[in-house]
Amino acid sequence: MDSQNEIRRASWQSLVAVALTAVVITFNHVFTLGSGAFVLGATLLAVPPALWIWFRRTANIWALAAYGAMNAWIVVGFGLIKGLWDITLPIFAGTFLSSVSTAYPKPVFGAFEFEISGVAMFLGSLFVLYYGLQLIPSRGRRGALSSVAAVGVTAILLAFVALDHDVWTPPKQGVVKIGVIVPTTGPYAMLGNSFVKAVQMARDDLRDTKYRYELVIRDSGPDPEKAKQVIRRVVNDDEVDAIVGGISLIGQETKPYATAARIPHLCVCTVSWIGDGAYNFTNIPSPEAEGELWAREAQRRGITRVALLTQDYPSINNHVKALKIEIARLGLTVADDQRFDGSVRDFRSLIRRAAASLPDVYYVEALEPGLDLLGQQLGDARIHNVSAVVAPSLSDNPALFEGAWYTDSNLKDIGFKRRFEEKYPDTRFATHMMPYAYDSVNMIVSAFETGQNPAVYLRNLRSYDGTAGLLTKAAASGNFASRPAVWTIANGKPALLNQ
Amino acid sequence: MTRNTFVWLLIIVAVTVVLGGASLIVANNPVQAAAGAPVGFIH
Repeated sequence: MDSQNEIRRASWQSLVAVALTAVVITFNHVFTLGSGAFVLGATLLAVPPALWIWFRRTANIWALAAYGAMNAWIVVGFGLIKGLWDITLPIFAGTFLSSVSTAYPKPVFGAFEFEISGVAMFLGSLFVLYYGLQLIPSRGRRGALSSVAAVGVTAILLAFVALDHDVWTPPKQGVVKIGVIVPTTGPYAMLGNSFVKAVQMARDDLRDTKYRYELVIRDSGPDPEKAKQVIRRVVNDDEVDAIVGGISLIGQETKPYATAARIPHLCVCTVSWIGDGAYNFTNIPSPEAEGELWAREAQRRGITRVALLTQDYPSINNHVKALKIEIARLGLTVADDQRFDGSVRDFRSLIRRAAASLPDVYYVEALEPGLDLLGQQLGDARIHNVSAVVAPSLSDNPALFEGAWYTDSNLKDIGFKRRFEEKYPDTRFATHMMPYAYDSVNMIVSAFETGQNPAVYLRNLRSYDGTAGLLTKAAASGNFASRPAVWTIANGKPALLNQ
Repeated sequence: MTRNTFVWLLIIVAVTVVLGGASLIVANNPVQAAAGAPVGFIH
């Protein structure tokens, strides 16, 4: 009788544990399954009680077995695999291990609610396991199963410590495959094609290397959704050992694939969060670095009043935001600030208003075709004191900005541009991004040549002296920082002013 | 305090410590899977 009461109480506690854990599982899966999580939740909430009632009424052994299977699904599938292995261990063990050794990657977390509900999912599954074991009548058998569970959790912890470790594996048959993923069609075609050529030049410049380096060049296209298929093929089918990419819009899609494959991804991208310092790294001056140099150069030129004429566009807005901070810090004045839509073609009224504010310089940034139209209309208004960040180097007709000064990628090795133009006379050298693309390939090559896991090598790398000058990275950071340079348009072409 | 109450108190403290610790680690970790899509970024 006592045993019957004990089982009845345990069954009630087991059902409550299953129900509460099912609620947590549902919440957690909303982040991955969307509304499909509610179907999963309804199943987990309805089926176990139904099976238990069936068992109590009929003593059918299959009903009890099915109830046990549901418990096992919750404990193993949601508790141990998803809750413990995928979420709880990376949070605690992953964070700890990465803090003591760079051989372990820093864990990348999703939404706060997703992560914490994942931990709760694991804790809930422990209650499901405990009360599930209470339903087993024999104390001896219950004790043995508890011991197995404890040993199992310990084994999982040890397996995580062993498998989370990034180790050096020599490339298969001495060939290192580097995936090159950039859009070479659509609005990024000019940058993308120049990027590919810079990467090819880096590979062609290699001498006496221990391994052979193959480039797997793929056009991601400009659409991030379509790019995912290309990235998946490069990582899973081509089985590349590393990735060099460009354009933040594509880099953000490449990031999770590189992380899953545990291969380094060097992205010539300005969006800093893409560089997580685990497997993903960015390599280009930040908008803040561009803004700082621009404001310093403006001050050096005796400029005190600035008129801003900029297109409303994310990367341009980022430049303007950083620029305004530096302008204010150095005591310069924004005399006029106008942001226009990408569809604007007649800038004359905007130019008149800016001119009325009597600026020392007109800061302009826009994408084509607006950029060249703005340049033309500024010229028509006899305005030549023009400046920018990057923009003139992306112009289809740089001569429109003759005499303008601007900040852009550095070129410590100016011969790089000359060699590029000799090697690829039909490809326009887009100063922006190119030295970083070239240096990124060489950084990956250095990793393999020194016989180190390339991701660990990049985590440990604090400085690199390349064609773009000195690149530096703070410990644990995923962003290689570098100083931009001041350029001007002279004789219709970009020319480096100083470094 | 009964033994049962004491055990439950320990469980509540342990769960709070684990969830609180996880919250602190996740909230203070600069590495996020994504921090807002850079829609429209050119570089």
